[in-house]
Amino acid sequence: MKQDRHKRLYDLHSWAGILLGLFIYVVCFSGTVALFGDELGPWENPSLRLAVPERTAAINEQFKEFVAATSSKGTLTFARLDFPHDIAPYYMAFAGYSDDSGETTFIEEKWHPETAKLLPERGDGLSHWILDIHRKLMLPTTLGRTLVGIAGVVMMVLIITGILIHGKIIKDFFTLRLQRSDRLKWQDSHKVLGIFGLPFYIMISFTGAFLGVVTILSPVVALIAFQGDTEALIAKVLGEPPQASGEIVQMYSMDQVHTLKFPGTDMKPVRVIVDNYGDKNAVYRVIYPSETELSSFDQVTISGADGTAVDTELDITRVTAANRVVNALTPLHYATYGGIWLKWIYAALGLFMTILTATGLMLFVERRLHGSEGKKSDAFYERLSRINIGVCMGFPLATAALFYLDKLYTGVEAERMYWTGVTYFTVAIGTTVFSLFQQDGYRNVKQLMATLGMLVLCIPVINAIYTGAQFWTANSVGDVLSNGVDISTIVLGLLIVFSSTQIPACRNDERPRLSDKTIGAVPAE
Amino acid sequence: MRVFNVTILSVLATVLIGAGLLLGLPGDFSERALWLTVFIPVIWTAFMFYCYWDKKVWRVTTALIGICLIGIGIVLTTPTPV
Repeated sequence: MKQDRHKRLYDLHSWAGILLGLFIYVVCFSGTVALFGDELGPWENPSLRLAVPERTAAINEQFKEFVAATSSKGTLTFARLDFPHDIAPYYMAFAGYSDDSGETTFIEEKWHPETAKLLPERGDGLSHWILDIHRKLMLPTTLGRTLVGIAGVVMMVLIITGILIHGKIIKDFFTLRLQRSDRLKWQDSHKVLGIFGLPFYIMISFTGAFLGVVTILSPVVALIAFQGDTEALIAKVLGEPPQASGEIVQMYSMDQVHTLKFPGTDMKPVRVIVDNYGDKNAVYRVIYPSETELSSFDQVTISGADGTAVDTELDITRVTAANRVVNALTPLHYATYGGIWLKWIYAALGLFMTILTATGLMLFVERRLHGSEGKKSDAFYERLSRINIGVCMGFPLATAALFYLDKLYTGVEAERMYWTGVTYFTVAIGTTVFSLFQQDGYRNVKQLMATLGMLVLCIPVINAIYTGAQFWTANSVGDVLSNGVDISTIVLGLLIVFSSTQIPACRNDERPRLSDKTIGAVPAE
Repeated sequence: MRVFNVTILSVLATVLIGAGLLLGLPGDFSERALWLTVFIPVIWTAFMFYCYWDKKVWRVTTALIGICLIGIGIVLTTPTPV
């Protein structure tokens, strides 16, 4: 490649990396934890540590009352019922209603799978926060998802430029000079990690970019194509939605729906999404799991009035090439198609991606603070280095702190999410500010990492104290999931503590910076 | 200028050529819409990359503005699907 083009691509890689690297780091790290959002549910809420019974209780009456109660508050926009299954072994109804101002409010209720009794309410906290911070950074959905999508697009640019500026990919993959200077250590680690997970990084960036920017760019594109007529656009792409007839009829029982097996299989439904509940034109979209296929779900659409099959244009799972691809992107991103071991492989690669981002940030500073690049003062790069350390350690610490808050929180359940957010950002920002005042970056990382390791290691202890859980006993699927979280935190905590012992307490090769001020001077070895 | 190209023009070009392709490409409309949804991040990435690939900044700017104009042209001359 021509030298000037190489330099331009190198500059794009460096500057896009340093300007958006911390943001990408937060997205990568939160995504790695968010993989286990479903598994965290029973850990945080002991009343959900249930087994899926052989015979489940009837639920139709409870669902009917739930829909009636929701409808009395405003115009029902949709209703949904989840049947008990391995990941969520309880009944859950979810519905939305809009008020006069058009604002939609969501309501949720859970019932015991054997007794159909209402389960105690618990405010959203740990698992919701971990999922939402990754999906939308806790911002309004469109803005948040767009920003996360931009992180995916930037990551794709970084990957392409990274591949092109490192011409000797095969050689670089086998070069790891850990005994040489710190700069070479960071450089080699960055390259090896980059090449090691390359196919995964490309896949996760692309699917992440798709899931993010699709929320803003696709509607904008379509809006331009339809010159502002969004209703025509939706009708053209999704087909006309089912219209209510105004004739009230008895609904097909949800208990009957629960027995409907997917054609040609023994699969039972996990979810029903209802349009126009109570109306003659009501439609049930019955969702079946696709846990071993690269597909979001399988779906059968039936009439809500009599349960007969309905052929609808709204069925987004029609088997066309485009549908298959779009339908595959979400499970491909969230690793929901291959069981828990696939999630662990994703988590390991996600962690590599997170470390790759962190080493990239360190390398940027290293080359300027202890190399010949950059024109800013040493103090500027020192501050940048401390901010990098603060953010890179702050967000993992904040995530660990949420596990403790989850068990120690004694306030109103409705405010649980608020205090989860307060804790998360207080710890993350607090760690960043703390790091700004630490003179020795290496020692700071070592100490923060040891603290993180100990915090993660003790998560099962706080769980045992507050819920009485013992991870060597399991009576239900919920217990198994909760124990899995406890065991994982022990393994992870030990790994982090061990890693902290391997970090040197200070730089190995103190050398003055070869900046424009010092060029010509002989560097002291 | 490259920063302007990469931050503003590349987004505009993606959106406008996306709208143009949605109307201009042959085949079933909802299929086209889905494929475009998948490829929009790829198109955007390609434009961002191109901003730093070409040596001449004016060539990048001209190309991206040209792509925007082509997209606008297709949107204005193609009837909206019914």
